Amino acid sequence: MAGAACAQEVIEGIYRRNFKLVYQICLVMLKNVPDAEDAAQTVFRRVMERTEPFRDPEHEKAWLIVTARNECRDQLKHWWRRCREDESALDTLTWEQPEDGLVWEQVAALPDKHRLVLYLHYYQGYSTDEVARMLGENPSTVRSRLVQARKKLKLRLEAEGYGPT
Amino acid sequence: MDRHELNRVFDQLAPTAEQEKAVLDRLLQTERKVIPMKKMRKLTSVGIAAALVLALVTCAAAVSRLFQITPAQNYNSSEDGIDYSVSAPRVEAESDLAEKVNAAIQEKLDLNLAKARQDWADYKDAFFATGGTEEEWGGREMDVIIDYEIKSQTDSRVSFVVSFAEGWVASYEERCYYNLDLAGDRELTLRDLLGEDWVAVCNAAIREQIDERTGADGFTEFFSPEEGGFTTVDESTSFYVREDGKVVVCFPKYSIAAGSAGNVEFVI
Repeated sequence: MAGAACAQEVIEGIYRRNFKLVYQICLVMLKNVPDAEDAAQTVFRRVMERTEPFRDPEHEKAWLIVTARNECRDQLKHWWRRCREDESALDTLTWEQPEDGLVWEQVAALPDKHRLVLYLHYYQGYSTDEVARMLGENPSTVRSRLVQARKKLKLRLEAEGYGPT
Repeated sequence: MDRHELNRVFDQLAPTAEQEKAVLDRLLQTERKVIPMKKMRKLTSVGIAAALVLALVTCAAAVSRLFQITPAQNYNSSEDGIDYSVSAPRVEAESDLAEKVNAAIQEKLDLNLAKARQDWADYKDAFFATGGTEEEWGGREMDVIIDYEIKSQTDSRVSFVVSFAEGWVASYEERCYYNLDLAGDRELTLRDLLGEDWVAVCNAAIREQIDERTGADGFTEFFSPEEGGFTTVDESTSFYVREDGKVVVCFPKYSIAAGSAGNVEFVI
């Protein structure tokens, strides 16, 4: 169904089912709205270039997660991005409650690998073994990233005076 | 900060409807140059219809499945120096087997949580009994991680593993494998999957793979049978079924090989 011959209606279906997921991953990884939009667009461009159909919705979702991760990783490695000051991009997001912005700032300060694992495990509900299998990592590495991310977040939020709501 | 608060933040990273439309428009810009708008509208209608059909097919598939594995207990918390990350599964099915397995998982969960608390209390007691001070103790914490992974599933069968792990100055992990036939309301055995010769089939495959993992100089992480290494599989041997249908036999860390080999698996 994909590839040059991939029907547009199929692409649109895949897009509508998964845009939120792909965009959120790109935003979690890149921390910048315009970059996340561009990266998400590139991910769906790659869907259009596929020559093999997805086996099922789970395969489709897993493929998109990995492709989004890879696209963001490539962008993060790019010399242009490394030289650019992107902290101001954090200000472009709006929050329902002020403390949400504080939490996001601390999440954004974590390494990108930690941010992605937090998102996939806590928000998307994947088990650590599923995350590991999807990202090609060792399950213990994923668990350790989760534990480290949680500890760092806790310490940083405590230092900022963040209390339970 | 708990999972709920973190997820509320992730929730707010969702794109707006305008963003979703704008990116889709940019994505399809090339196609629009060659596809007339009339056809585009038709294709969009077909797309929505296709999405509806897919949704119906997905629902039908979910309905035809005899079970569902859901995270029954899913929480992160800290208490008395222990950081808990618990994601324990539950088999949702109208069957005696599901009830039995859920009870077994709950029992394991309770036992492992009690063991972790006891281990931590013993460690703390020993630390102070041997001259440790509050200052030296600092913010020491133990991690308790309970998680599961579905290895494979069909409409009536499922293979999954639940892992119970403690991480502190020492580490400990126990894995429990569940292979269920919900249509037959029974647990699958190696005999069901490999036939009457299952012992010989497994033993031959395992010995061959141990040999393959032995260096030319004879070095191997596997213990010899005399040292307590592998001799044979039996009814208590753990296993799971992969997505491609292959059976994988599992041995816990240290049971038949040095710790550096970790949990050992053999594809049969």
